[in-house]
Amino acid sequence: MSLLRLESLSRSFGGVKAVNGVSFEVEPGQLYGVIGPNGAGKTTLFNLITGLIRPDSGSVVLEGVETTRKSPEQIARLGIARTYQTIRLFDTMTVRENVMVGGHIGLSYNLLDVFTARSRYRQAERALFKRVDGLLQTVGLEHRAEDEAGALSYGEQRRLELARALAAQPSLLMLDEPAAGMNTREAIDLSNLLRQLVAAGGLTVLIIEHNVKLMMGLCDRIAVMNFGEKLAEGLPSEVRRNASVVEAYLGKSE
Amino acid sequence: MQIVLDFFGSYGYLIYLLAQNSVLALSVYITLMAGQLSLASIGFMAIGAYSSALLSMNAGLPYPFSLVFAALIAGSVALLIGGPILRLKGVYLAITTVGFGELMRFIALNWDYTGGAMGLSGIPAATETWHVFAFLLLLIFGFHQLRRSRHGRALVAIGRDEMAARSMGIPTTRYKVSAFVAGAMMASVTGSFAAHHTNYLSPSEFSFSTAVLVLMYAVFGGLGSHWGPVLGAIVLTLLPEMFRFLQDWRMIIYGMSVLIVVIFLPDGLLEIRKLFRRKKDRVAHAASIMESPKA
Repeated sequence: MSLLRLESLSRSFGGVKAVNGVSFEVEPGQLYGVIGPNGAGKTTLFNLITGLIRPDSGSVVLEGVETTRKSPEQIARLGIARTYQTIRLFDTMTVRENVMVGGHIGLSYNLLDVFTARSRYRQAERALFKRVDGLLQTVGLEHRAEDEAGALSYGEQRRLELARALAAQPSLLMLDEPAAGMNTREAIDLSNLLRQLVAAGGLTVLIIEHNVKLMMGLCDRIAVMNFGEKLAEGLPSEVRRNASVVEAYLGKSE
Repeated sequence: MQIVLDFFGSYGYLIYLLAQNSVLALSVYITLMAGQLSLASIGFMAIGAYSSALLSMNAGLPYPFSLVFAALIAGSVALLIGGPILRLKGVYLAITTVGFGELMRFIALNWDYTGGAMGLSGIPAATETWHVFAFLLLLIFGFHQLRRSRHGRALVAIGRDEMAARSMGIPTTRYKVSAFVAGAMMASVTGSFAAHHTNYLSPSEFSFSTAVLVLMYAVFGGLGSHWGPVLGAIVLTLLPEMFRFLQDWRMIIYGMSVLIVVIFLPDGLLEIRKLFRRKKDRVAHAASIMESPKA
C-alpha cells in the first residue's frame, strides 16, 4: 500500500486553476520530489495535503485513510509534519521549546497531572526533553538550545523548523523549499541529513524545491508540475530526458 | 505590634488591591498568552461579584459555595460565548469583548434584581485579605507549572503562529476557548472577593476604564512570563499612592512615568532584567575583542 495517494486533486482560486487534476503516489521510505517553475502550484498542493485549504475535487489518502476533509490538526495527528517556505517558528520561545511544541501530539498527560506534578507528567516531559536534545544534535543546533528562536540566523531557522517537524515523529515529512537561501555547502549537508533520516527507517519525505540539481541527486522519484498540472513523473533520469519538462523550464525551441 | 496594626489600618485596602489587581492582570494574561486580546475580564468580574452576592443574600448560600458557584456561572457564560467570539481576531475581538463588558454593566444598571444604579448593599462580609493572597499564590504556582507543560507551550505557540500550531496537531480553538474560560473564572473569583469585602456593589466599579487599566497592568509589566502582569499590577497600583504628596500633579506624573517605562522598556517592566544582561554581554564581548590580537 502506498503511504500517500493523491487522486485528481484540484483547487482553483477565482478562475485560476492552481492545482488541476494532480494524481500521484508516494511509497513508504521514498524521497519524493515535486519540482516546477514559480507559480506551478507546488505550495498549494502542500496546503491541500496538510488541510490548510480544501480541494474543490479529488482526494488525499494517507496510509489508507482518507484525509481530504480533515482539519490540519487531525491530519498532523495522522502522521504528517511539515515545514513552510516562509519560515514559521514560534519566535519568542526558545529553540528547545519550539522543538518541544513539535512533540505535542506525542504527549498525553492532562492538566491535573501537571498541577500535582505527578510522575506521569514528569516522566513524559523528561523523555521529550531528552529526545529534543537528540534532534537538536541531529540538525546541529544543540549549542543554541536556550536561545530565542527569533535570534537565529536564516539557515539555523530552517534547520530548527526541520527539527520541530521531526519531533512529531511523522510517517510523512513534507518540506517546502528546505534549501531556499542556503549555500551549496548547507544544501549538501541538508540532503545528506535527509538521506540518513530516511535510511534510519520509518520516514518518508515529500519535498518541493527550486534547486533542480539538488533534487535530481537526492530524490528517488520526481513529479514535475507546471500551471497546476502534473507534466511528468518518474525516476530523476527519466524526468531529465522528458521533452515537456525541458520545455517548461527552458521554453520551446522554434 | 501596634505599628503593624496601624500600618494595616491605613493601608489595608491598598494591600488588598495589590492582590486583587494581580489576579485580574493574570486573568487577562492567560488569554494574551494565546495571542487573544480580550477585555472581557471586568465583565466576568461583574458576573462573579453580582452572582455570588445575590447567592449569599437571597439564597443564603455560605460564602465559599457562592464563590465557587459564581465562578461556574462565569465559566459557563465564557464557554457559551467563547466559541463564536474567539473566531474574531485582533481589534475586532477587543471591541467585541469591550461590548460584552459594557453589556454586563448595563444589565446590572437596569435590572431591579441587581439593585440598579443604587447597587447592592448589605452583602455579608466574609473576605479576608489573606484569601485573595492565597488565591494569587495558587495562581502563580499554576502558571509556573502550566508554562512547563504541553498545554502552556501550546498556548504560547498559538499566540505566536496559529497556523503553525495547527500543523503541529494542536487543536487551537479548544485551547483558546479554555484560556478564555479560565480567565473568566479567575476574574469571577476576584469579583466574589470584592463583593464580600466591601459589602457593597455598584455597576460603576465595572467600567470600561477599569477594563483598560487591567490590560495595562499586564502589558506594562511584560508578557514574557506570569511575573510580568503581577509586577505591573503591583507597580501601577502603588504608584498613584506613592505620588499622593504631589497633589494636583499626581496623575500627570503618574502618566509620565508610565510613558517613560513604555518607551524604554517596550516589552514591559520585567524586561529590565534583559537590559542588565545585555549590558553584561556587551562588556564581555568587548573584552574578548580586545584580548584577541588582530589578524
